[in-house]
Amino acid sequence: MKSIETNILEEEDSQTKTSLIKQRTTTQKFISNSFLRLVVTKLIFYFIIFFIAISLAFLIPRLVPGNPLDYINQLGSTGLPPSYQEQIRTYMEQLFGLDQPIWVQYWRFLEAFFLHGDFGLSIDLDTPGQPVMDLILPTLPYTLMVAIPTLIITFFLGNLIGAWVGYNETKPRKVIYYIVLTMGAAPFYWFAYVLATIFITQLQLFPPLSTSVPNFAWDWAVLEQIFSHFWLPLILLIMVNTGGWSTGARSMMIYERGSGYILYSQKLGFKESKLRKYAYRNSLLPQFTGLNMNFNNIIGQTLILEVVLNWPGLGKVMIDAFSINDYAMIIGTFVIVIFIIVIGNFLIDISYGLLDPRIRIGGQEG
Amino acid sequence: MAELVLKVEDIKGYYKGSFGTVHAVDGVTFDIYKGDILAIAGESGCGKSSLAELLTGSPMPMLHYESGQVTVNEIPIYIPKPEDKSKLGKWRKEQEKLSNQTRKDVLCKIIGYVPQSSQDSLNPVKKIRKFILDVMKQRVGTKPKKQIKRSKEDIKYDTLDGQKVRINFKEEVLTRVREHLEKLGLSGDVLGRYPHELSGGMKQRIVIGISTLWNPLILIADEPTSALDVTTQKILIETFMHLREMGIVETIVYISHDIPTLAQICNKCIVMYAGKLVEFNSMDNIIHSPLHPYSQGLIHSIASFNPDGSAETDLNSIPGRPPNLRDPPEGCRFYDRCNQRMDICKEEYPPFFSPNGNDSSRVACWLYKK
Amino acid sequence: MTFEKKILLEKPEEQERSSVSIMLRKVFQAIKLRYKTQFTLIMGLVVLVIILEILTKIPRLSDPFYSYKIGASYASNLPPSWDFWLGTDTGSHDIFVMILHGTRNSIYFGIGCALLSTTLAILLGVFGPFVGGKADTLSSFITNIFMVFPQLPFIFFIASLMKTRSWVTVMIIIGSFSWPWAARSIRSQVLTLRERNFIKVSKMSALGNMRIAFSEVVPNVLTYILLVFCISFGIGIITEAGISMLGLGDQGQNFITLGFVMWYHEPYNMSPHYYNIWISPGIVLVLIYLVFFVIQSSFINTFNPRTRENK
Repeated sequence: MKSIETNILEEEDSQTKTSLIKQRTTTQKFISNSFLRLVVTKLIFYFIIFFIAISLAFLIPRLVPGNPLDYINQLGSTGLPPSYQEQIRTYMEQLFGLDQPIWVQYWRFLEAFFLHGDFGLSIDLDTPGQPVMDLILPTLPYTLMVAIPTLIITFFLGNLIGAWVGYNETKPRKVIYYIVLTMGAAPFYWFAYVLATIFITQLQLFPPLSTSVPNFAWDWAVLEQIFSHFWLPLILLIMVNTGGWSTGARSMMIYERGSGYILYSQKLGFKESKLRKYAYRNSLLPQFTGLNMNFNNIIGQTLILEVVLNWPGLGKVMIDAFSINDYAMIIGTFVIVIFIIVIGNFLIDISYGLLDPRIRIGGQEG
Repeated sequence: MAELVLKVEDIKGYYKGSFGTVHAVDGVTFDIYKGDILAIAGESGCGKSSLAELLTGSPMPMLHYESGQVTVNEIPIYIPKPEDKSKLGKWRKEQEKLSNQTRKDVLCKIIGYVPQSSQDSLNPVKKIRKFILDVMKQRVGTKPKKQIKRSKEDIKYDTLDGQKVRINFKEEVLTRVREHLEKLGLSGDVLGRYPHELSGGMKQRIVIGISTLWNPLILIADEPTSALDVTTQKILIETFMHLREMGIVETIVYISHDIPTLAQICNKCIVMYAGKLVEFNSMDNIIHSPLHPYSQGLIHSIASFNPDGSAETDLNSIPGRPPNLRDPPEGCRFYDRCNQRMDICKEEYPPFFSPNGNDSSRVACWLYKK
Repeated sequence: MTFEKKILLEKPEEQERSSVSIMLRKVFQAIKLRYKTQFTLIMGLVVLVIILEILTKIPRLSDPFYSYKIGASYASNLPPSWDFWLGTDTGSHDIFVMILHGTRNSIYFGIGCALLSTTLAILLGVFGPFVGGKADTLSSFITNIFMVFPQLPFIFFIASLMKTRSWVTVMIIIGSFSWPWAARSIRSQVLTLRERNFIKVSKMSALGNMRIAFSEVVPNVLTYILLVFCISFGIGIITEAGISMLGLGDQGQNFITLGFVMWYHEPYNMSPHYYNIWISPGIVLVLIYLVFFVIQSSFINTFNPRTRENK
């Protein structure tokens, strides 16, 4: 009796020591060369994309009617007081060097963004002469607080439903699956009106669309008000985006369910629940590659929904700027959206690298 | 007489799906005694692998048990299907219960199984070590841990590789596993690798290692060499031959369409054709004096050479195709391709005859009717 | 496989016909033989378009902006009736007629978008990996960039800068941004195909790259291409409607789409008295999308034998 116990104690001791050493080696492996290489290549790749996008943002307005000079010349017809007009004109000419050759303008444009984070002044009648960045940045949290939870929730919910259907295709499961798919087929902007009619006009669960969302403050009453507006866009985006994941997850699950390691684990006497866990995890992994595109989609959908549901995010500022031809604002919102998307994609790629050992440690591709 | 370890009685298993019902295994009966190395031979699609799946008690999803019985070490693993259709639901529940019990008691400990597609038989996102620990957890119920509470009840014992092991202790289990894999010619550090970092032969040996961890009574190997190159095949075949010498497994069922491989390893042989067992004989007899016309054709279609390079016999293939197993014929299934067919063959499926007078060789062919 | 055999059994004089007609024949045969369900559904769509085309030529239904009159007074804001199936709006326009035109144009728009993006997807997905070498690297790099390129904001951006937007511009913008995922899936298919023997044989028999790509590769990735076409069609219609609904689409009145109808009737949105006006274009959109969704999923079942067999 006693000997066994001391034995165990000794073993514990040696085991903790070896485990410490092991932990260190695993962390070393974790940030292995190939992982760093992944980070660096992705960083370069996304920087190129961002660079292309920002160059397009510079180039396109100069190719189509609606270039910054037009915009400066149109200032008179905006109805702004002359003092503001003058201020905006001089500021913009100075910032972008509009009287200089085009490559200098291009250089100034890059400089304006990368060094100063400045895109000029707004001509909106409510906020004339304010730097557009000051107007755009406060709207960012509103967009992200809808988009990011949607991305995470739909990913897990959609895959769960798809895998659940794919693992055992019974009638009731299929019915739920097709309901989810049909909801995903609805055009979301129109669906937003339908949902708003149901939840706001009929059930009166949420405040009407005409009431505006207060600015953010660390105050319980304000937060409550913000959140009362928050649920509708979130629910809507979740309903619309779940279906896409389910289709993929279902076919992945059907594939994994019949793959060799599941059949072999079954022959080793694994319990059903463990097999399901294996299949679910492995069918989830390839789905991660779809996160990039889905993130782009969700951001785009959020931008449109914000207008429809009167949610004070980036999209609302953006569309407002479109309607009054606020050049600085259009460029600013566009670049910020690109920036969010690029950062998001980068993070998604990196986390995928962390999850899949085949990418993390290298070796065979695929 | 040696001890009977596996008794198969008229087992039937059908594939069912939107493609119809395929009679893959349609009544197969044989016994395996301790120490046998039994070959199951036959061409692709004759039901060899399906038979192996049925023997494990948990066949793959689309393969359904139909009737018959498999008794492993005196444990029956199927409940006969009731004829009354209203009782089918109850039967299904009971069978599921029994299958779960079988998984717990029989698999790994009494029957080890080496699958056909060993290349993807290991979970691709788990290290070998983690996968083995998962296997342990499934067998024991608790995961082997680094540390354990110091109460006596927590310690569980199991026999791994013929030795008693405290199975809750991670290090102890892993040491035993490492030794076991070393016996199969693998170095211990494969445990820390992912499957994609290993070669095909290594993966296959790891699968054999995992399947034989508990030193099962019977090892069922389903075409373990089919996806490997010739050199690796040779190493594997040697591994199989050594399994017995090392006292890991005594009884092996080896399934292959490759008769020369079978001839090297096995001492008894079953020949299957279109879901039916056509001949049961010793390996030597199958090679040198096959009884059934199909076995004869099978042997004649193997190229064999004299040391000087000249062909030993003429190479003959069997003309025709096997029957469609969705709707198998009434009579002998080899009738259409047989060169010695008789009228009776078309009407009635032959029972087993023992032309040698004893039970060691049996053949299902009307030619041997006395 | 029966299809491949048929090609082999073709008479020699038929081989001498121009490669284009052979290709077309092959493609048509492949569709008919392998994809019966899809073929029926697509044919159904063609019939629908023809019916819509005929309907919108009938004088009573030919002008979506005609202000109808009952007697001497304008028929404005009428509920659905036998004369006006979906009622009328304030401008006395028949909602049903507007939706009829909108549906037809939306389908045309979708087909245009799908054609454009499928062509791009084929160009980058088939020829890149098929030619190999630098072309392959370049095509996959371009695909990867477009894959993560934020399309919707970019479409907004361009659309908002252009003062005069015609539906063709919008179509080109949407079409040229919705192909990258398609190119990627076609690409992976072509990569496996490239290693197959019959392609190697055609390469050895010194057929031109283009000829092989069109007569051997394209028919074999046809399922993918058709699937891509269907999905792009859906994406095109839905995206266009979204853009138009925000007022960023074609503002001219000679090509009204379902999105335009939605935008035109924006003041009615959520109004409990005018469900007929604001709900109906959305329902039509959902229906079109669902039909294409059924086609898509039947394709997916054709790809994946496991989903097909486990019923």
